[in-house]
Amino acid sequence: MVAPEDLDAVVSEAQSGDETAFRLLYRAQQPALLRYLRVLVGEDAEDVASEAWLQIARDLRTFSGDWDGFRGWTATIARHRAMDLLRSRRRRPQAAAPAEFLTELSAGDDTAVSALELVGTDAAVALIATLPREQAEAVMLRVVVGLDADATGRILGRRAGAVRTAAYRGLRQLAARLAQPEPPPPPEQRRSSSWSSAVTTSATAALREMR
Amino acid sequence: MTAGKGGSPMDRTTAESLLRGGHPLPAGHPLGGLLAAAQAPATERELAGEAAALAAFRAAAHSPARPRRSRWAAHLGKLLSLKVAAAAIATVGGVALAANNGSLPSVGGEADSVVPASTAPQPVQPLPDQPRPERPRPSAAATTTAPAPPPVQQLCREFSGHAGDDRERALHDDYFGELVRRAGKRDGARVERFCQGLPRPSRGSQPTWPGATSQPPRPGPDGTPGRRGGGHDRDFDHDSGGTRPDRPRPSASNGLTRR
Repeated sequence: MVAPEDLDAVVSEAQSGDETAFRLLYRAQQPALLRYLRVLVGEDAEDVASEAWLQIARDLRTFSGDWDGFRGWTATIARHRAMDLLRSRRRRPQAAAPAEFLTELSAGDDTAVSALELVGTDAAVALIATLPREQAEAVMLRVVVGLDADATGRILGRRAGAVRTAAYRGLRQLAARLAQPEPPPPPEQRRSSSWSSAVTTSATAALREMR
Repeated sequence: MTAGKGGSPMDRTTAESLLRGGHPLPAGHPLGGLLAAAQAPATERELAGEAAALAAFRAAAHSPARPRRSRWAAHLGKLLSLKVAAAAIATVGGVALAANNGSLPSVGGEADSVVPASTAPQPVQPLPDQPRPERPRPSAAATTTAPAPPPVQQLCREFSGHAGDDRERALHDDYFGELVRRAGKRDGARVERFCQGLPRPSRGSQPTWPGATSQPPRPGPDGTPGRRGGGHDRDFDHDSGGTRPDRPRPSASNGLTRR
């Protein structure tokens, strides 16, 4: 277990060229970045994360700040790379990668509904990704990347109050979707339950917004 | 609005508390489970890019502090273009005459260089080590001082523009011969690793990932500026302490104890 204040020291060690320290930073931050990117670009998240880490490695010496600052800085870089990709997708429309990803979610929706405490990380992130993008980003940056409303607002170019509202609405939607299947319908009806259709509808909306 | 089989209301206070990392919901509440899953420790698959990131870190450690130099170059470019502009003031009359006679083939933007001396001075002679500005405005020099990327980086960019199977096919093209030779093997993954280890072209020149090349910066879909590169990244205020230091990151502890 490495406490955050120790990670402050790790950041400066990595900045002075310590490879072990950089490895620690990668392991501590990559999962959060990758999950955040999954919400933004779906299956391209790994590629975009790789691009982001190339830039992080390259520019680390110019960064100034502690572990908290590092988390915000890296999330900013990751978001810029994701926006580059989304722009290029708009220029060259292609088969929608996120759709396949969401198919996994609907295939696993029985799990998500019936055993929520056992829900997998991928399914959880995929469900968050079905929110409108501003809500999904606010939830991911705050809950998963661990930033506060101010830091999240700087990344998204919004006021902290707007970030709080977006995150709140996102959580409320998630809670509503998760609560829908009560009482549990018979298995054959569950596929067409309002929960599934709600997710599908807003997933389409989210996809439309992402393009 | 209420939600959850635990029956707890999802009001703003509850939401804010959840977002701050506390979990006020009853154990087994769907939303608590969902958020916990989203924060779960790292998996091996998620850390698959570690070697590539470390390679980039090593490559950066062995290269000079590029971003600062790059900014320097931009300033230098501005200074030089000012000097050129000053020289242009002195010579614009003669140049206009010469250009009219067609005896100055190297003058960029011929039509523009014959403007009367009362308008903004134009740089008339590209510096020897500097690409000629496409349009001879003094400010243009600042954006064109980045040196052209070396051929290998160029090849890497084009290689990475190929998707999947095309990559292997492309490597059999003689055009990529030099790249294969430098990477040591005609193997897509090998070449990709080699390319990732290369120092990037400096800021202001083209980025290296596919799809983002030759794309002018413009506002993102949400209205944020779409600038790429690190310049805008530094707008983030690192020292504000805008994060929650009190909550240890689950994924962090996992990654760190695995060593």
